[in-house]
Amino acid sequence: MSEAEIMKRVCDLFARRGYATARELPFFERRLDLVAVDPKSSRVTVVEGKVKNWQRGVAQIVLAQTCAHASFLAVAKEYAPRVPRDVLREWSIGLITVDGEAHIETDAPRLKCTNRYCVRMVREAMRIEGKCYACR
Amino acid sequence: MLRLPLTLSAEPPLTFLRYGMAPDKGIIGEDPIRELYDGILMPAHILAFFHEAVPAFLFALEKPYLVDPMTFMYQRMRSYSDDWGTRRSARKLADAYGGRFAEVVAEAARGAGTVSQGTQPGQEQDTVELLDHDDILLSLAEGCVRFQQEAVTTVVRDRVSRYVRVEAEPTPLALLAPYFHFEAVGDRWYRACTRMQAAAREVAEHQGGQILPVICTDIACLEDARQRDALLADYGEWPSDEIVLWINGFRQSHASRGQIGVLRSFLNQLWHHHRKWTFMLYGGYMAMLLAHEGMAAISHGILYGEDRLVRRVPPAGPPPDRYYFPRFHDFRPMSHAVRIVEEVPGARELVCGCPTCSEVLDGDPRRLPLMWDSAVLKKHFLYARNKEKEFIRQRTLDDALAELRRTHERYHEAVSAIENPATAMRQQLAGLDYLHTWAEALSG
Repeated sequence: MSEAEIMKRVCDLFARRGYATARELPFFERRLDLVAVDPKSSRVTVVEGKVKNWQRGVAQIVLAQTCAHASFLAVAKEYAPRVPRDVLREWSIGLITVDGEAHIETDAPRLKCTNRYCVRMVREAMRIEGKCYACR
Repeated sequence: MLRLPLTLSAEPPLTFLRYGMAPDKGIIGEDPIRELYDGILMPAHILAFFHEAVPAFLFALEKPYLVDPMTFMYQRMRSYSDDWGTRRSARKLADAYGGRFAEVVAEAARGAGTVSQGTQPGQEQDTVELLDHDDILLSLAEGCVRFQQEAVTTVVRDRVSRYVRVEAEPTPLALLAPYFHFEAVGDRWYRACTRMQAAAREVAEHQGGQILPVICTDIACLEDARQRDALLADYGEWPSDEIVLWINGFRQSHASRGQIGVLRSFLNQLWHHHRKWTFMLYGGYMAMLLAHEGMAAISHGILYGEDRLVRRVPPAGPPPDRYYFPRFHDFRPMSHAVRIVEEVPGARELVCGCPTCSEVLDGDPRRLPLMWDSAVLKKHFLYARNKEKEFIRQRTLDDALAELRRTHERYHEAVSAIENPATAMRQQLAGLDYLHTWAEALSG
């Protein structure tokens, strides 16, 4: 399964739950794999997808956490056992596994490093970028 | 001709801004930003390409300037399609240098665009055989000296003076000899380089001027004591008070204690045995700390250019927007920077009190995302660099090293944790260990 397929399924998961989603959203010098905003609470969730290189995924999420209230790493289900749960707990990252569909295996705790200016920046970028490319 | 740095009213280290992008013009010409640096280093290919706009800009700026001859560009011309050989600015500069050299470059560049002639992408072919001929080297040396003397003054005299009163034509602070990168003293490029520089020196002396030699080599060359001694013997007697040094790809935050020690020793010998100041192309704070060893000046771009690889053709487009942490004496990508101020205890002390930061941050480091604007980040960097310069001028080296040690002790662990979030990652980033390395290498 490719990273694009993983992210497509994760995007579907959040869209089914009523979230507004955007893929490849610019955030400073980077692009975020997926940003999902809960329309009721306006809380922002970021997801980084990786087929198996979870270390790189964690490193990317840590830098994206300032613009979100919750963060997830999404990996192919077959590689999920390799992801150390203590590292995810240490950095307050939830886990999504993907096979035929995406499932939230570990929920993400509320982040403590959220920066309101970054959140505002991402919401503004979403307003400009519009709906998820995959859903158009 | 003015001399570096003795006739400038400032103590070393001086900072020269390497001109790179047209949008920088507005920033570096603005008051009071223009007081934050000592001069401009203008790459010759940019001067040749924008042959009217750049001289007019330098005239209006009224700051000392030097021209980097950029002759290393012509070392490997038939490399791949994006190499210097196909860049129009490189062709224009060769035309400006003129003579036999311009003809040779035109021939080589015609080959560069034709991959089917036997050069595959990624392959490199030296042009040293072209420059083995003294007539070509002499032509390049003459053209290079003439270009530096005339490129700006001619335009100001002939064009700018039609519109404004010209009190004094802006001449370069000093002439720089044409140069090639060499890996070892005595290799083919070293021999071509020294012959060419001797020719340029003759031309300049014939006109009653002086020219500064440029040494462009790898740190490995300086690490070899015999090569270092040979360089000192060859360049120590050059009739100028300064030499210009470019250490290929020397990234200060990656340099080892031994490498910094070697650089320090080289500068020290130049200063104490030959009474020569050094002007370092592509330097940062660590190089500025060597002011105590004879480092007269450094040059760099705005938000980029504190190190550079000879063989890498710079990508087109603007430099990345990064925040310069004055306490770290280094840049961090914005996403890192924001995370650092969110996470690291004592973050309030990490952001500076320069006018730009004061206005945007208003004392709250969490407002750092609001600095995500190229002009704002550049102005902040220039204020921070000037403050570093003043600090080095006013305090002792021991004070500066103590400050590095304090910063390392206080912030290394927290910054390192953010930069290495997945503890199982094999490649561990160094955090702020480089500050400790600098302090160790420069003490004693």
